[in-house]
Amino acid sequence: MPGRTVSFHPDDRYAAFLRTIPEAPCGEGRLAGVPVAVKDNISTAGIETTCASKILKGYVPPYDATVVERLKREGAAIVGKTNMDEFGMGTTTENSAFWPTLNPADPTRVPGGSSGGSAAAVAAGLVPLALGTDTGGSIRCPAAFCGIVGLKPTYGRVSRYGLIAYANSLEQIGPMARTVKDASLLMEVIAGHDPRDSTSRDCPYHHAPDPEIRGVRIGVPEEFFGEGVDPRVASVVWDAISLLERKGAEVITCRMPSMAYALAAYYVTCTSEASSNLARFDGVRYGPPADTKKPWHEAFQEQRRAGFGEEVRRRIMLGTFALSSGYYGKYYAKAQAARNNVRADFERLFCDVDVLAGPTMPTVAFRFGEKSDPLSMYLSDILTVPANLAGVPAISVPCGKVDGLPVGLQIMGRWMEDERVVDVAYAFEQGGSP
Amino acid sequence: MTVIVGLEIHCQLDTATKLFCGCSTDYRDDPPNSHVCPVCLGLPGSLPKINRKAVEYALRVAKALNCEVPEESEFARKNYFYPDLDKGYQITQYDKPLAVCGYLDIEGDEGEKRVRITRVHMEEDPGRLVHKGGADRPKYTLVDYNRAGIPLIEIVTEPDLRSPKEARRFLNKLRATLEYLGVFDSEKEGSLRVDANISLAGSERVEVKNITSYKGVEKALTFEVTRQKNAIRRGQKIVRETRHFVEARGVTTSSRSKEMEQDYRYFPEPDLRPLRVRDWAEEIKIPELPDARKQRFIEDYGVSPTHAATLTGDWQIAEFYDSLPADLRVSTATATWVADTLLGELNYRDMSIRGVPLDHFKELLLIRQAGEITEKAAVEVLRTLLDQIRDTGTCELPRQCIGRLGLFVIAAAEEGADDPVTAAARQAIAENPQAVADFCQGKKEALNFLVGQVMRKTRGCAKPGDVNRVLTSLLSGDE
Amino acid sequence: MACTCGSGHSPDNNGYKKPYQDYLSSYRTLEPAREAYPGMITERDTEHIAQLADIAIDREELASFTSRFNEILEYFDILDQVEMAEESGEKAYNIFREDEVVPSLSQEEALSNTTAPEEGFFRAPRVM
Ligand SMILES: [Zn+2]
Repeated sequence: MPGRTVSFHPDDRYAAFLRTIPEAPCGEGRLAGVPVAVKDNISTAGIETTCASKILKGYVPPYDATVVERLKREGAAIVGKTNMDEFGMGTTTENSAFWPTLNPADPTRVPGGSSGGSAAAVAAGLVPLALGTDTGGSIRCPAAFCGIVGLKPTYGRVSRYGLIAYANSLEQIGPMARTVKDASLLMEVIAGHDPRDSTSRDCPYHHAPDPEIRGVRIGVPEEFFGEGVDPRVASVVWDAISLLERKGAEVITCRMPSMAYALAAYYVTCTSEASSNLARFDGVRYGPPADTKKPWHEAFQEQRRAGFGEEVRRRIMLGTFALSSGYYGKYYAKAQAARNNVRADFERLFCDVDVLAGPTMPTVAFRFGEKSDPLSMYLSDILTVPANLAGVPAISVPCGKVDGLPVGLQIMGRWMEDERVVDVAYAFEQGGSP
Repeated sequence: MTVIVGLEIHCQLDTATKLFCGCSTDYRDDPPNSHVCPVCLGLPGSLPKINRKAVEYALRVAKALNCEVPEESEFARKNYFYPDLDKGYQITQYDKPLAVCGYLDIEGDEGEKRVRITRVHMEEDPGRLVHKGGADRPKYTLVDYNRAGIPLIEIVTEPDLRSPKEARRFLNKLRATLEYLGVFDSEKEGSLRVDANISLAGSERVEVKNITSYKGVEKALTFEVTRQKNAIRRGQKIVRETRHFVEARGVTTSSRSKEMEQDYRYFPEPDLRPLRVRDWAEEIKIPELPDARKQRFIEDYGVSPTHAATLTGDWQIAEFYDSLPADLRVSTATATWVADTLLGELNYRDMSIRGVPLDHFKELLLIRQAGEITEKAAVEVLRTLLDQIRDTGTCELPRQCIGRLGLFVIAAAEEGADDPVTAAARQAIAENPQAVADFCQGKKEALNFLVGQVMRKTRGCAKPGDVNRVLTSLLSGDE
Repeated sequence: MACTCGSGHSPDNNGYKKPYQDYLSSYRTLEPAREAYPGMITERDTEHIAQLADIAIDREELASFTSRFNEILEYFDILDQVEMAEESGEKAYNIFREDEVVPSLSQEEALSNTTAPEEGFFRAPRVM
């Protein structure tokens, strides 16, 4: 229906949005007139898309990401672009080049990241649905910190065409919502084969969440409750797992030895890929222009120093180092081998269990500035990166609170069994005894 | 001093679309940045997708070069910065190339020679730069990405070539092979670029980059051989370096700006899946290649080996020759006419066989074969038509041209009749009493002189046999 | 070792011929070459990496970047324990598109994100 729009004038007190569309066009379909927020690293034709980076300030894509096309085809209204850690590089959304987003559950704390804007927009009730992206936990972490549902789909299930790449081999676009059912509906719309993405699989998602989990075998890796996990968070998550057991699931503890080096493998891989992905930002074709009066090398260097934030520069340089001559074997090649081991661990565990469960994050949401050194920030991704390394689906569903702050239960499933992690999360969400 | 040369050849594959996107490759007469899309412009979020045809073409080349196709190959990113690069990396192949370990046989300095091919891989072309503000001190650069993403194959040889001439021969053979395969259009500007590694035995190796023509390769290498020999003679050491070929001056110059040390940080392209094309390569049929065709021309048409090599050294000429009627193909005169006359006249005009309407020349050959014009007239018509094409891009029909120039053969009629040949003969006899007298005294050369006079008067359109007969008959009548 | 390429020439011809496997391993050595940055990386190393990454780096930042790098790289050393192994997992191959022309962007669209295009070209810094 041409001409129809959704008025969108939110009270964005948590600074979730980088920009909003006051009169957003919408149409007919399964999401007719539903306002949807889109993370700012997903290309939207005619709407500025910056990845929360100064280097893309003013960039207006001439094309829509496949997921945005799919949203529009189902009538959704794209009402705004949400804040994030610059290029997805962060766990708190503090790395946005523009401003931090506040956690609606406690505005003195971070919303998590990197999809912090999307999570906050949903948690604050500004939109029912939002798209996030998850490279090493960037959907699940803010979902857990803000108390909403976030799904990282199986790698290849949702097209990456139009997603501004941070780490191509790890990341997926996924749904964020207040309920599992809503997240599942949004997943239905965005999933499916896209010929423009060579890593896309022909595996559509048509699923009505089913809360019946009798007989489902839930593995709980010890490593998910190891060092660094807040005992209060662990306790809340164990309570959640017990509830699933009471509903008829079988709970089996297990081991995941590859967790020892999963985080290192993750950071080597994502920084390596990022160092190459972010090479295109030189100010020639888009973004603030490079100084054409200087020799090219100098102009590019200045452009990239001024345009990228500190963490982005750090990761680009780390990745450059990891791929450089003489170090490829020590870092990148070894990270890929470690990644294979993580994948093998999942495969082995999934012979005996149907899903794996544990906390999404080792702690509740941090205070602003709490994680000041990069390594301790990286370490907080330890529970979310395994699913990205293996390409398997993982969901975070709110499962309780510690000191009034939300805690997320993470359910990981077999490759292409996104439906099952949704079902288990749904079973938990329904709560109580059968 | 033994000269050791290895080549790296980049050829554009003649596909309809670019290597990783659907933009048309036919951009040459179009404005800048009119054949670009999010993919080849490197817009954030765009993803490459491999053109099946480009892989097929590359596999054809691999097969024709007798290469081994590994079970798995993959694309990799070559990371470096330059304004012509749209993504800050080039998608190419690194440690898992499409094909390896091949060879191409050429006519070497000392007979048949096998040149080994190290590898054949695929990659994308970068954009094109235009320097603004004068060549000496450019102020800034303009970039056109129409060329960005054009599919290239890189063919790397082992250092098996032993002279600049061998290098040129190798390239000619390679070009012919690529054209036979239907994967390459050598007429397109920039369709072939060569980097050459050259050393004198015992000395360091020098890389010469930026050679963009076949002739340039021989020139650049000849210059390098002389330069290196002179340096060694003067007791200097050859330093390992990269030099650039300056086509206009025919010299190589040291790349003076010491660009920072390169470290391309290759890693597998995560946006693409690997290739497993060995079985596909088995199935791919490749057409008859130059060597086989040369053999067929010798055996089936009785063409001399030298002519056969010339006729099959260019796909278009070979096709032209094959399209001639059977009785023409087996005639030595035809082979000579095409290999020597036609190609010689083209060469003289620095023209290529492309852009020449071969049907016209086929017709001309048929007219000549039918005896409607003489050999001499045929050459005159050929020259006229080629001049027209060179000057205007098109030419007359051969019959039209022959008619306009009045070059159709003038037949002599039966004895005693008053035809143009007889008239010219009478005139020649009347004008050259001394020759007639010499002839009568038994000097046979005098007749040749008179024949020449008649031919000139008939502008070469009389048949020499007729002229001979008519003259002899007239002179014996006078006796 | 016999030449495996089937081209019939002798493998020791000039010593250049390499069977396929040797050929591959010659491209990339997986052994760490610590000579470049032995032990901890230094500020000079950081400068070199910044050059490769085409990112200018201030003198003041150099020290803090270098010490952060060393902390993180030390953590990455855990990867030294990982054995190299054959790649596993489900993989797709031969994902192609057909050689069919799809409309390009218009020149105007292509240049729409640049501030100072000139005669249809993008403008870049000088390269010589
Ligand atoms: Zn394109």
